[in-house]
Amino acid sequence: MSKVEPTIDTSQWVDEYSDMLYNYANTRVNDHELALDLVQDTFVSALKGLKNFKGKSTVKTWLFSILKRKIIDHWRKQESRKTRPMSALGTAEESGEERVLERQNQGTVSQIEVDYDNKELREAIMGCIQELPERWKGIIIDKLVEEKKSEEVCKEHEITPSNLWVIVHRAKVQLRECLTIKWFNS
Amino acid sequence: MINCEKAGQLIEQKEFEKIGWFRKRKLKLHLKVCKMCRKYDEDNIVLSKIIRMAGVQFSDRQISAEDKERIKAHLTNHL
Repeated sequence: MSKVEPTIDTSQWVDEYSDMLYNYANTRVNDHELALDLVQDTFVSALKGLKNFKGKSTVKTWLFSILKRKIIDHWRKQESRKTRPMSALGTAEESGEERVLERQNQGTVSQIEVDYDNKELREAIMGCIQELPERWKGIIIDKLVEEKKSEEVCKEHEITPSNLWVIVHRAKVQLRECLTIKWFNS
Repeated sequence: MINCEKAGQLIEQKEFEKIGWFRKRKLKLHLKVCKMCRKYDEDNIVLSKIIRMAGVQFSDRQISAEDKERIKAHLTNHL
């Protein structure tokens, strides 16, 4: 376990952890400049909170926990600007339900041949993921891309297990529809 | 009988974890009578695979040397 020395070498932090932190952030916010700012803010917060760091976890774990918090704060800000709270999701009586059901009936995704080298397809998926509501993105990436345990995703995003499946389902219905348009109609 | 929204959620859930026999049965019953959800169930695994595929692209970028220097300089101001 790495311990933080009293005289900290921030240059070493940047060399050692910035790429990892940047990839993590950029995956979730899909904005190069914003991801860089989040990484920079993470290091600044770490410096400020250095005296509270007891060395019980590794520096890497500690930095990631700071970054995760910052990303979640970013999503919250975005979310509060344009959408309903997450807690509004999960009830069957929602007005959006019919739309989801309509869209559930669309698409021909099973015809897509999964080809990991297909750059255009990857870009289409990436584009579709980025069109999802801000906070759904993180949940989808954590659950479907990084295959984190459901409990972990729920804890990190402060949602209930039933909300998780509502969000995963609605996001996938939207992605399916988006892919159908972007991939099959292009 | 469960509705399509609930069936959709169970389709997602069963991909990642075991669902109880009663809910599994309810889903099976629904899928028997609902062509739309059967189609969604069929697409679902492929859809998950291609979403995972996007992750390949996500994880291999590096910050430029210039940006790293900029962050280092910024941090020096906070020391």
